[in-house]
Amino acid sequence: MSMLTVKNLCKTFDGRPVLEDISFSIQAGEIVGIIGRSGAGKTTLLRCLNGVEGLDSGCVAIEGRELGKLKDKELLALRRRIGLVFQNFNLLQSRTVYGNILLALEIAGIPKAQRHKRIQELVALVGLDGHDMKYPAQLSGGQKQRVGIARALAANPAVLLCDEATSALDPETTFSILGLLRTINQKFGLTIILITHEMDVIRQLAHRVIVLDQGHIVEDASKEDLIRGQGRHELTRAFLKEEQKGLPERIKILIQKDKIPEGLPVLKFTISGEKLYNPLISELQKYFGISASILHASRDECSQVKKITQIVILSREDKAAMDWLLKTVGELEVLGYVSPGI
Amino acid sequence: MSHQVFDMFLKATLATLEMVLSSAVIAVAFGLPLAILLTVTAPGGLWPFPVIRKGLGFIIDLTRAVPFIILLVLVIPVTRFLVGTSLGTAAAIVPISITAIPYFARIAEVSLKEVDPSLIESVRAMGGTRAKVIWSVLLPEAFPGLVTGVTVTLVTLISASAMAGVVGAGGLGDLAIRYGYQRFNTVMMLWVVGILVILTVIFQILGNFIHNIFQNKNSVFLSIIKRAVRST
Repeated sequence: MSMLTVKNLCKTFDGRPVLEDISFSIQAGEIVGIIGRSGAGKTTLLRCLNGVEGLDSGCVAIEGRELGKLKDKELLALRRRIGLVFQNFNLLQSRTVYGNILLALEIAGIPKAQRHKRIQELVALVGLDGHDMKYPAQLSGGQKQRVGIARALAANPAVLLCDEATSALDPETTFSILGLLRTINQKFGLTIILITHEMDVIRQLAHRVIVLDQGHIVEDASKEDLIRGQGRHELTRAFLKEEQKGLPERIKILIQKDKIPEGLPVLKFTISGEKLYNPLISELQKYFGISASILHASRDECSQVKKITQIVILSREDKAAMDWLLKTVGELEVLGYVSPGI
Repeated sequence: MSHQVFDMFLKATLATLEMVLSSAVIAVAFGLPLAILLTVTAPGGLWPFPVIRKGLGFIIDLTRAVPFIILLVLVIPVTRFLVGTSLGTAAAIVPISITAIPYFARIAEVSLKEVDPSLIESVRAMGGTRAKVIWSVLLPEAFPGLVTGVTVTLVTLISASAMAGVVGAGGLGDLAIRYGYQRFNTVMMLWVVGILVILTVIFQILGNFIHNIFQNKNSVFLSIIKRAVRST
C-alpha cells in the first residue's frame, strides 16, 4: 500500500522556484532518506508533506487522502497521523518528559483513561525508564531526542517524519538514535522519512534514498543500487565521497569510479556486533568461489558497539555474492574498480 | 507610637494592600488577554491580523501616555458611574486598574513573545489547535516571565496607590499627604515611606521566589507538587 504519494509538486517563494516537479511514492514500512545540501529544498518539502506549507501545483496524499482537498479541521486531524521529530527537539521546557508526551496524546484526543498506560509504554520503548519526571533541561541531547521520538509515536502515526533528527547529536548518540528508529520500524512496520544532509545516516538506516538538488529529484534509488554504484548522479557521488575521508590516500588513487574492462570491484563494508565473528572472507570463497584480498581494515573503538570496517578487492564481480554480502553485513559500498594487475 | 497612631497605620496599610492587590487582579484578568491578543495577531503569529494589533496597540499606548496624576482626575466620572463615589479606597481601584491594565499588557506581551516560535510551529504541525497552543505552549512557557511581570506591576501599583492619596483615596499615601505634607509631620511621613519600602521588598521577594520555582526546572519542590497532583 502506498503510504505517501507526491505527484508533480511545485512550490515557489516570491516567484523563485524552490521545488520543481517532485514526484515519488513511499510504501508502508519503508525507510526513505531524503538527502540534499542546505538550500536544496528539503525543509520546504517536509513542510509540504505535512501541509504546513501550501502547494503551487501538484498534490500530496497521505494514506490516499489528498492534503490540498482537506478542510482546516480535517487537515489538523491528518497532521495527527504524522509523527514529527525535530532537529532541535522542540520540547516544552515547562513540562516533564511525561508532560511532553502527554501533550501529543492531548492533541490527538486519546481518552484520559488510556493516557497514563500509553506514556509508560512509550517511555519504556525509547529507553527512558526512570526519567519520566525530569525536565528537558535535565536531559542530554540524545535523551531529549528520545523524548521527541516518544512524543512523535504517541498517537500511533501512519508515518514518522524526521527532520535532521540526529544533526545536533554526536556520532555515538546518532548511532543509538538511529538504532532506536530501526527498532521501531521493524517492530511496528512504521514508515519513516528521514530528511538529512549526512550520507552516513542514510547508510545506517534507509532502505531507499532520494537525492534532492536545487529543487529537483536527481536520484531515487534503493540503498542496494546506490551501494552497487548504479546510475549514480554527480551529487550522490559527492555525498558518498565525503564519507571516504578515512580512506588511505595510497588506496584512493588506485580506485577508478567507473567500471573498467576486466576491473575488479573494490568493496567497503562494516561489520558490527555479533557479526564480527562471522568468517566472511572464507565463506565468500566457499559459497561463491571468490577470493577477497584485504586492502585496509580499521576498528572503531569509540562506539560501544564494536565495528570493523574492511576494504577488499574481489577476484571477480558477482551479483549473487554481492547480495549475500549485503544481507550479511548490512553496510556495504562499492568504492570503484581497480585494474587486475596491481 | 501610641495605640491610636498604630491603629491608623494598620488601617492605612490594609487599605493600600486592598487597592494594590485588587487592581493587580484586575490588571492580570484584563491585561493578559490583551497581551495574548497582541501576540497572536502579530505578523507571523498564530492569527496574524494587523488591524486589530495596531488598533489595540494604539489604545494601550494612549492610556499609558496620560500621566497617572491626570488620569486620576480624568476618570472621576467613570469612577462615579462604576462605584457610586469618587472618594475612598474602592473608588481608587478604578483609576489604578485603568493604568495597570495596559501596563501589564505590554509587560506580558514581551514575555509571550519570548516563547520559541519553532515550539509554537511544531505544536501546530503536530495538529494542535490555536487554542491548544495558547493554553499548553504559550502560557506555560512564558509563565516565569509573567510572574516577574506581575511583580513589577505590583511594585508600580504601590507607588500609584500612594499617589491616589491626593484625590482622597485613603491608604498610606493619604496618610503621608494629610499628616506629612499638610501638617508638616516629618516622622509620620518617614514611617509611611518605611512601610512602603517594606511592602515593595516583600512583593519583590515573593515574586522572585515564585519565579525561581517555575524557572528552575530542577526544583525538587515543584516535582513533589506535580507528583502529588498526579497521584490524586
